Amino acid sequence: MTEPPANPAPAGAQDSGHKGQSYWRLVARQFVKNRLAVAALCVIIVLAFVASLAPFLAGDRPIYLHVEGETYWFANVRDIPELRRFDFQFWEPGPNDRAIRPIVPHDPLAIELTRRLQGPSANHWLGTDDRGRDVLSRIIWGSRISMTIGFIAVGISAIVGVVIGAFAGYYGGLVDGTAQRLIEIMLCFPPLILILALLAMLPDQNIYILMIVLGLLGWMGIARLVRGEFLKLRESDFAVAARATGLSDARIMFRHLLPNAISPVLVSATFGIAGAILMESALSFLGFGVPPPTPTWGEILSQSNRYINRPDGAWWLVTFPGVAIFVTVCAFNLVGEGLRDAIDPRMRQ
Amino acid sequence: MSGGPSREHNGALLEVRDLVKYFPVRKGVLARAAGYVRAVDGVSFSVPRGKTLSLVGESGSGKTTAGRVILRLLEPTSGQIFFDGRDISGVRGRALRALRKQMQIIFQDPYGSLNPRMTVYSMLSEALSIHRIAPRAEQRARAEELLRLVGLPPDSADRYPNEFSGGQRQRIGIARALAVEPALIVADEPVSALDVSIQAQILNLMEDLQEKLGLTYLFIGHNLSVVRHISDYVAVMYLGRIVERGAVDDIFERPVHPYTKALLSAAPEPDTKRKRERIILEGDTPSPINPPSGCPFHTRCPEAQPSCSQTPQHLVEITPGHWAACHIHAPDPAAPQR
Repeated sequence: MTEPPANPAPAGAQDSGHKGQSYWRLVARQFVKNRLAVAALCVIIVLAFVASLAPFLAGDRPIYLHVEGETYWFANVRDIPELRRFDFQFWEPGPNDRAIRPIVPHDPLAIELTRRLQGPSANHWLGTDDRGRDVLSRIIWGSRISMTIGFIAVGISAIVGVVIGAFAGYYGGLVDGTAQRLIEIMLCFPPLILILALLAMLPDQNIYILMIVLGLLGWMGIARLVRGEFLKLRESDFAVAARATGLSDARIMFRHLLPNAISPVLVSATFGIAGAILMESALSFLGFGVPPPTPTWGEILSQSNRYINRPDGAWWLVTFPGVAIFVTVCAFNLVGEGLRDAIDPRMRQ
Repeated sequence: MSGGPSREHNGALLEVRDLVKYFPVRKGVLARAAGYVRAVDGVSFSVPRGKTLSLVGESGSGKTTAGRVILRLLEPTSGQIFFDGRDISGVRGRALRALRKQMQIIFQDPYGSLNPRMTVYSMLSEALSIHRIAPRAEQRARAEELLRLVGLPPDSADRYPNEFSGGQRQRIGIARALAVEPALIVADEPVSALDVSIQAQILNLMEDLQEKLGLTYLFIGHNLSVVRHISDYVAVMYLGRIVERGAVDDIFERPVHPYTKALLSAAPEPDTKRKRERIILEGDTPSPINPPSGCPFHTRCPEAQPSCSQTPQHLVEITPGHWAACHIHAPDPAAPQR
């Protein structure tokens, strides 16, 4: 992985460079054989782009603006004092003005009551919600929330799970017993009910609290995985060798054993992201998620049940955020499955 | 068990007295010890500096456990371990870490003993920095020197274990053991997993290193021709006890204990013309949870007599430095005659 400083021979250096990642190369080679998983990974990459480039894809502030002889760049991501007098929601360029707006020229928060609950049209591709906000714009911005919550919540789960699992598996005995009972107690509670109860008790409700709560309730699976791996690995000869060398427990655990136990954690985390996204949507649907007006997929979905009696059923409020959730969760699950199969040595020839 | 206070090797690098290691067998919810596996049951021997002592025995005889206890990778149940004249059976913390620098281990399985996710260099440099053997700037040179010492090209340092063959991996294992500049190396069947042609290379390497660096080996093995080749002294273990020990020629040429004789008769003989008697042992090794009374070997011993199941056996010195625990073949002069 690290290139040796004192080995300038170009051929040798190149050689050791590519062989350095041999394990992950092997995994990658297995992974790409699974076409569905590769497609799902592409979906996730696209989603990641959509989420990170949301201000360039959806919003009413122009990326490029030429107005009254002045040129402004990136008004969509910068606050430009001279432009504060413009209300871009209703602003139309004059004959001498030029503007390049995001592809979806609607702010996800811009309320326009005259256009509420319209079906898909040329102006609002995926229709509008009950406050006249553009659904596509809200789905694009909502992907940020979903992805952030998914990754951060699972990140917290993974850290907590790895640490608890590592200590339980490495030390065994009383430490293991305590950790196992803790895991069992946590698993006793139905997660959705527990989260609802927790969120109801907390005085403040915001996206960070949601991430932490989701993260702290989802570490048990990873802890069990890591514990199992550590139970097996701590008896291995290389762990004994590390102890015989006189290394500290922390170093043996996190430098020697953990790298050998990380692949199942990665798989589990991938599934965990799907679970966290689904959980956030469910919470938002129930009205316990990210507080309004922040756009989230579950929140758009939750509006639909109020208009189910309309002749058209406001079908765009159900379908489009539903598809977004479905595709995202599917993609993460498929990548998780592909990864799980790719790290399984039995799958290799 | 009380036999053999090892006065015969004064100034030995390693001396073990009445070493005992029991593993509790836990049962039930409360995890109370229902019994003990007597893996090592009162073992005494000593290894002079710069020499090789082999522990020989079947699998389950406790030889590997004895090696691990001596290295303090397992806690001894009782008994003493003297390293360089100092009792190390109770040291812990910082003193134990310092001790790790003095004693190292080579493993049987060259595939399991190297961390698959670390380069050879990171393994070696870790050992070098933890014991402050070389400053960071010199670690690269020192690691390459170690690799050269075990007969590997210096550019092996940047490779991962899976890029090497079994014999090469065993050399890496030896290099890692040597990195901390130990005085004693416990070699736990270091060639058993290797091809025969590679075995000889590794054994020769170990002998060269012993000569060059003045190493002391505790060699654990079951291949008798290998043991005979590398050892100065041999201790034969059966069910956690030493049944016979002495200089390598005493054991191989003049075995006394019936178990030693049976073991030797089972080894392939290179000289096909030489006729010899095969002693076939009946049955399996008894369970170390419930070892037989008296002589632990009496259940399988071809020469067993009724008294064997009652009389506890002690190591008795037959000729200087040659001890055996068999009251038939090595009667204890101190014991009352029947």
